[in-house]
Amino acid sequence: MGSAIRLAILAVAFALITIAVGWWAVAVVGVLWGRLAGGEIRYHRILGAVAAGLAWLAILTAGVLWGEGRALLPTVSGLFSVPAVLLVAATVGIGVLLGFLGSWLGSRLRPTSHHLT
Amino acid sequence: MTFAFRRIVPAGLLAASLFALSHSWGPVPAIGPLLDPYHGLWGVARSAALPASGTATIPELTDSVVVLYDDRAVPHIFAATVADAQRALGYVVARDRLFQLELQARATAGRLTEWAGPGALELDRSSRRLALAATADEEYRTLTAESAPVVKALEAFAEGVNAWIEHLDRGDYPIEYHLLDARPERWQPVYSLYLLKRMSQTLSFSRHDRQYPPLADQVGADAARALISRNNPIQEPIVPNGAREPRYDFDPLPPPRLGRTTARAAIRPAPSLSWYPGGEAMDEGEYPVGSNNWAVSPARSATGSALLAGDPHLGLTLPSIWYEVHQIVPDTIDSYGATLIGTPAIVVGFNRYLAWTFTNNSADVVDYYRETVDSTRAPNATLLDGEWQPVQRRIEEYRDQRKRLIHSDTLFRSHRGPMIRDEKGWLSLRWTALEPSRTSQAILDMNLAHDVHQWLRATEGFDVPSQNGLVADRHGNIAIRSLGRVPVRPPDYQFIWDGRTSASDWRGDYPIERLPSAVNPTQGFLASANQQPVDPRVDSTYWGRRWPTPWRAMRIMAHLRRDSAVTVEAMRRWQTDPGSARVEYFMPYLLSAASHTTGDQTADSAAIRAAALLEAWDGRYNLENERGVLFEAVLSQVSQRLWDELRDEHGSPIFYPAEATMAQLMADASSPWWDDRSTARQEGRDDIIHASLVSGLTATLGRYGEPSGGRWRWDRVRRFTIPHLLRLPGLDAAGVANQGGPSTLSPMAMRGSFGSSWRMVVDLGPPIRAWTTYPGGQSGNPASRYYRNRLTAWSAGTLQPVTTPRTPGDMPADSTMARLLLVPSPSD
Repeated sequence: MGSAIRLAILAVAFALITIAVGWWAVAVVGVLWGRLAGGEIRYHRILGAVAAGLAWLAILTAGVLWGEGRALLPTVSGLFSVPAVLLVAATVGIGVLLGFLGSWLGSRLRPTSHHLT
Repeated sequence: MTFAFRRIVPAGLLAASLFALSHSWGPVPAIGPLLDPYHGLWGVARSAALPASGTATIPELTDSVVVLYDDRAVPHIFAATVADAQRALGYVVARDRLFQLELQARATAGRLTEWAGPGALELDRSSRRLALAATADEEYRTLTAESAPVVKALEAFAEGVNAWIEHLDRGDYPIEYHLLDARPERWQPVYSLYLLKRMSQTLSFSRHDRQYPPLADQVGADAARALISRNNPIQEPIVPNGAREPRYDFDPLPPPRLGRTTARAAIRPAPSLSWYPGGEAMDEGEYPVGSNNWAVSPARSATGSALLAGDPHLGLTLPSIWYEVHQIVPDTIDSYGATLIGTPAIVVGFNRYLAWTFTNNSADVVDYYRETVDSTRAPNATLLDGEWQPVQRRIEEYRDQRKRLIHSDTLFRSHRGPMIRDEKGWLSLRWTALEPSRTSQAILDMNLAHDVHQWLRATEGFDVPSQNGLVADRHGNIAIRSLGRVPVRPPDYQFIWDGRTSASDWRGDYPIERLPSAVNPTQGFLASANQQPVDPRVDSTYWGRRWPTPWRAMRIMAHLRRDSAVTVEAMRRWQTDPGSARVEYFMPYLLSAASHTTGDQTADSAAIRAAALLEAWDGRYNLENERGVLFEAVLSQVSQRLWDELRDEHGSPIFYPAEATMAQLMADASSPWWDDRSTARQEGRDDIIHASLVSGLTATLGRYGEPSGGRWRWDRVRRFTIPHLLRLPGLDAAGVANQGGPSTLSPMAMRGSFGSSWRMVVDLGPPIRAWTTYPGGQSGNPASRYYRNRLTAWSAGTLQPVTTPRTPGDMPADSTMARLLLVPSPSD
């Protein structure tokens, strides 16, 4: 399976679990991904991080960055006294962090040690 | 590195991240759930726009309800029964204003610490000491036991609110819940009564009586009584007295008797024992702003039908206290107007037959009693007519977000009402709002009235808060009446009554026919602006004291007397009339005093310059005016210099007299009150005004610079911020300009948190037509374009025509923004 397809599938999984369960479930999917995927570990934790970030960015785009919901951006910017782009970045950053750490942990939970690098 | 250690590092980092993101840190809510892109605050954006079409379930409905939102986001509710209309109202209000609903209920109940922790403790303690929620609970139990019809309305409204809450995902919560890391609580029917009690606190709770003892100590009993006068020295009453202009009853003000200032401190209660949030020091002086209403009969209307204008002034917040709505139940209700959030009916508005509105009536419905107790520390009984009466105790517990106990209070209640302790002992409070009320039923009944007389009968149960209810019908009748219970007191009025004797107690209420009222007066118009309702020469009954100076009433009456063919457009224009009776009264005194010479050439020339600047002003507080700022600075200086006798040893004011009293002293140029106590010589009126012109000009120049270049423009120096309910930046409306100044018809006060809350003009037709607006918008969602969309029009003083379809089919398609079908079950 190519990397792009892996990335897309993983991002969809992250998005669905976020919508169905909540923010913390990204870590669970990350662990599963890291545990089940074969191959080189560093590559998979980066893929997990990028996919989680993309998933959250897509959710934000659909709900906030696109359409009438954009009016929320200046509001939250005023609310927290920071540029809205920073809040969006912080949000995506949380997804990236959880995707990365989950994938990393999952990869360490693989039964054999020869995959470890 | 061992295999186990390789696992521990990522596991530890992940666990630490999850822990850090899921816990709140001080005032910062948990970041994880807050920034969850779907269930967190970003989810608020999804509900910013109403879906063009949708279906929702309210299980208790007896039939389907159609709700059409017009292009102003006003829901028009078409229901088969009144109860279904109330359920639908609960649903749409919750959909737009859920957080506001719960915040108001919690604030009344004193449960804000459960959201905000110890920071809200003092607010909660004040609320619980007043026992408004406890009174509402008792009232609701009584109404339920009596199977009162209003209970069904409150229950139906609650069913609608809860139907909305139950379908919510966390991501659908209003933004405030995310910031507080809270979730909505189910709405109880009694909470609607809480809101009415809270309004009563805003509108009818006074502390005038408790201001008397320290004031009498400061300036003597005669002067104190005159300053807290039962009659305003300027008479422009609500009930027509036959006069064609205001009357000035300017008797000399008793001189101050000074020198006993130390006794004052002994009377002040400790702030921690206060009934007032903010402590005893909170006294804004004379009622800073106020509501207006007026109506004209067909004989004085250009349209040939009665006209009515309503303009209640209240606390301004985003979202607004009002919600605009239309309820239609065939052959029963067809009411349009504004509902107070949480009330299952229109509170100010119109139906197919009549229109109604209110201004506040400052009737005296509060009394204080000095109690004799068996134990100063924790009383078990109070003495009454030689016998001990038991004192009720109630333990109040305050909990934080995690339900941990953070404080508890023991509250005491005599047979009269809540008790607090001050330095002299114990006081009881008796207040009509703390007794059973029929107001909620009266509000429902008002909507059903078909003419002025039915409406007046419906409002007989409007017990609290005291209001001036104005009504006009399509038959051309107009009427106004003081609404609300007014107690009959013992003849010798006491500011603090002797609690040891039942002779001090109330002797019932004045019967409804004794309350000030007028129906179809020969003058052809009626108006109220919070002023004294009846000319004391016509009726000397004690209704209250410290009535607001009738500057606004004078202005309205001048318009109405002058215009014998009033148009809707004139009514609208008057609501933001920049003219001021106050300026017209004081300005000649200011200009005249400028020619008073002091021997100080610099001061004399400054006074003449100030007067020249003021003389060039037309006295109107429109946005472009460049002299209002100087006038206010000078008048403020006059007030400060005049009332130096009313300052404590630290220079802080202990009392703010009504402006009418200052007006009264203008006519008494050598009154001892004008003397500046800090100088050896005896000053008179013109000395004080002269000095005020100089210092007012100096202060204005110092703050804004020279008047050229628009530096003194009203809309430049007077910008307001309408705050969010939680005072959150970003959710407020900053930089709001307002045409109007102190005592014009559209003043704004408290930096923007008080002002005109709802404007309405109704032409009683046929057909009935209406125009409305309010500062804010229908939605409580800051991401919605209906959050603050009306502010521009409100600020400009314009009104928008309203749509009043009788059936869903009457609703113009091009003005239908969304359609919501409410059904009893998903299969319907």
